[in-house]
Amino acid sequence: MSDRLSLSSAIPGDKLPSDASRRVDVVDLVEESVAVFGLDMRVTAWNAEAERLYGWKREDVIGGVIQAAVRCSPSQPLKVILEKINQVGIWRGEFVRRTKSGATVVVKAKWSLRRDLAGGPIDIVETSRDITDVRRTEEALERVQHQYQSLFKSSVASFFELDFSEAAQSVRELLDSGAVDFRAFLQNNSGYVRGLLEMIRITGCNDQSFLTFGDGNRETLLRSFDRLWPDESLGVFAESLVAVFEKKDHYSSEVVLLSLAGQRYDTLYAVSYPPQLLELTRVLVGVVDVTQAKRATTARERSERRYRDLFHFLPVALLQLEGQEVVDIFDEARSQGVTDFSDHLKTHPELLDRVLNGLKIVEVNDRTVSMLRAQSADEFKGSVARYWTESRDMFREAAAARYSGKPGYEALVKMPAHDGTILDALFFSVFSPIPGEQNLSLVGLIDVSDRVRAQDMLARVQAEIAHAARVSVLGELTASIAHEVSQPLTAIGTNTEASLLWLEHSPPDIGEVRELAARTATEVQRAADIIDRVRLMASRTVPEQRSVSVNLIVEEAVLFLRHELQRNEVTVSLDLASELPQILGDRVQLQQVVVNLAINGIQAMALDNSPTRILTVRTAAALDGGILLEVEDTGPGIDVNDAGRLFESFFTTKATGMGIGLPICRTIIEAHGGQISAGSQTNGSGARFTIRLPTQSCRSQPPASPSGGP
Amino acid sequence: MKDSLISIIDDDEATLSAVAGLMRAKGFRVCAFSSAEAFLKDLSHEASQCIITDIQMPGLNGIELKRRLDAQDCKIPVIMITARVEQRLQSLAVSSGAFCLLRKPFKASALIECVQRALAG
Repeated sequence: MSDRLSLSSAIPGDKLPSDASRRVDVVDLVEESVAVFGLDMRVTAWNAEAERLYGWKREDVIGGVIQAAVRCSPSQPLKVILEKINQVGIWRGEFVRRTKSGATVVVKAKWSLRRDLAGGPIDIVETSRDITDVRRTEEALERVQHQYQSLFKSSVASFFELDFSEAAQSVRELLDSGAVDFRAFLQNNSGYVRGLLEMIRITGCNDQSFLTFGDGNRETLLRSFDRLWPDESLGVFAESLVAVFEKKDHYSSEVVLLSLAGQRYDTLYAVSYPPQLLELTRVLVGVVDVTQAKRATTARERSERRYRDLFHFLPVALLQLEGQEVVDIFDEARSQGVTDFSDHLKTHPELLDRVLNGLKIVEVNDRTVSMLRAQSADEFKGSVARYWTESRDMFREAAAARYSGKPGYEALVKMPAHDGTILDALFFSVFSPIPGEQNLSLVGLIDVSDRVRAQDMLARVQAEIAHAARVSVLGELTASIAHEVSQPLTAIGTNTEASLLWLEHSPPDIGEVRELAARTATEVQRAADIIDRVRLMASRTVPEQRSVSVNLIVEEAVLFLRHELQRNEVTVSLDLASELPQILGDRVQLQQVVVNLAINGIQAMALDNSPTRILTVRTAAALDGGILLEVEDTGPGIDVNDAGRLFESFFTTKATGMGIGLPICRTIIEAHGGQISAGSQTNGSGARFTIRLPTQSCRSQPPASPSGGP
Repeated sequence: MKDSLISIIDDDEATLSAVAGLMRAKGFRVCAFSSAEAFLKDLSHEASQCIITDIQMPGLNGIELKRRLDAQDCKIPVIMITARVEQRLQSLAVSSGAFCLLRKPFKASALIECVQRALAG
């Protein structure tokens, strides 16, 4: 052996250095580091690998003690090593050494004692190998192992280590027996699958496995894997085997597993396969109990199903809309700094069409199909544009509401059905507040055509009754009206006769005639005005909603009653507040109310033969922003027994009354969004009727006569 | 007769001026008052040869005015005009001693004839 040759050169007393260096070259070919030192530990040989490993040159160490060269800390004290080597001639062990540069190296060393022919010790040959990297890897591996074990033990997941060898053998035999469709075979042979499970043994598991699947005794779980699998879950196990066959490196699925105590668990079953499963025996399986999560999912599914049920079976027409294009249009508008989207749409009508066409119907329920008179839900595919031809303004406001982030919008709209009928519908829309679903909205429709028709009819009937009541008032006022008209007629007749007389003068007095003609024209106008007032009261027009002044209405009513007041020797006191806001209403009907209340007061005072007869009409701004109108008299007042029935139809205390005056007053006032009440004068015994009317700005509900709306 | 002084009382300004105008056209002298009180206050009222008065007026009415004149033993004929139609009022007027009663709207010729008869009587 060459190393033996070369090593012999290191024998002390060798006098041939050139020869020695030649022979040492051979030692240098060895991959291990080689050092030779005497029993006194002084180094006599040091090969190239030793130079490389420790950083010291041969000349640095030859003659010095080995400890100086390697700064050793041996795994055993030197004395123990030397004792051992004296006894058996050889020692193996590890050193942690320092190199010249100070780096730590771990070496695996073998010391051999060389003896002379007489058996006396000559020197020690150390061969060593750097195992620093190996040791580092081992340590890392150990750490990983430790972490893995901690995880394995403490995880909330259950882990099973399975011995698959017997089952793998069985599968191998099956596959070797001929070409079979493995999946189909497993599907059709649940007994075989069950058999495989019986062959698989649980060889290890973590604490969680015991907690979840055990029966209190740690040992009983470490038997066959089969007991965790109910029949219903065999398919999943079969699929996990197919995954191996298809060379997948893992498989996971939800599956029901049983604990030894019989508890069912919804689990997530995950198995990770080594590359060569059928040759290997150990397989690791993870099982996570998802019963809770499953329950939550079930609850969510149930809630979704409930939503679907509601959507489809609620007796309200519902439409699910999608409007990504609308969201884009909104973004576009926002980037342009648009704040008032309604205004923006007014100035860009083509944009309204884009919004209409961009809003697509995704789904409708049965009620929508029947309400909009379609044959099937399929007819609703497309945009919503066709439904908004009659109420574009409302759609614009709905879009603006959505733009400004409101949660929803509702309005009364006119909507064309599929057969062309125009329906009155209550439209409401709910915008999804969920980020990412902002393109979705839900729309509901309630057909209120019947209700609107009924309201129209009610308004018409009320208008008819109000008209009848006005005509009845005119009847009561016949004498006054006749008197009123006779005044200008008398003047006209007399002026005409006088004119003729002036014309008969010689010469005719044209100046007088001209003046009389002018006065006559004035009187004709006066007569025409009276007739206008009467005609207005007698009119049978549909109630209008116009901006009117309450003070003006009071003044007209008093003018109308001028003679009636005079005839009954009643003094009128008007206490009208200046700068009252206008109200929205029907001039004729409101005047009718004032006339009605005034006549009641006049008649009450006349019948009672009251010595003082003062009718006071007062207007004032109400504290709530509306208008207060009071009509009070100095008559006998209201009998407390009658107070509650005053506004009932056909209730009257008058000999000739029909009992429709006050009920009509109430109907009219309520249709204007106001209230009327009866009471007594603050000072004295007379009656006082108080009316509260909302102004245009504080009007909360539309008048009861929609046909009269603007 | 042409120079006769006719006093006219009516709260309706249009009727008052129309009747006054008619009387002037017939060549009478005319005094016009918008109320009975104003007439009574006027010192010249006793110089009237004929009084034309509306019945229904605020304050003193035509019939009360006639009673007041009777109480003063004033014999000036009083012609009453009214727009009212009640029978009761007519009989009241007649019984008060009105020279004649005309219902508005009356014919101008009827009033002239009335006045002429009153002046002749």
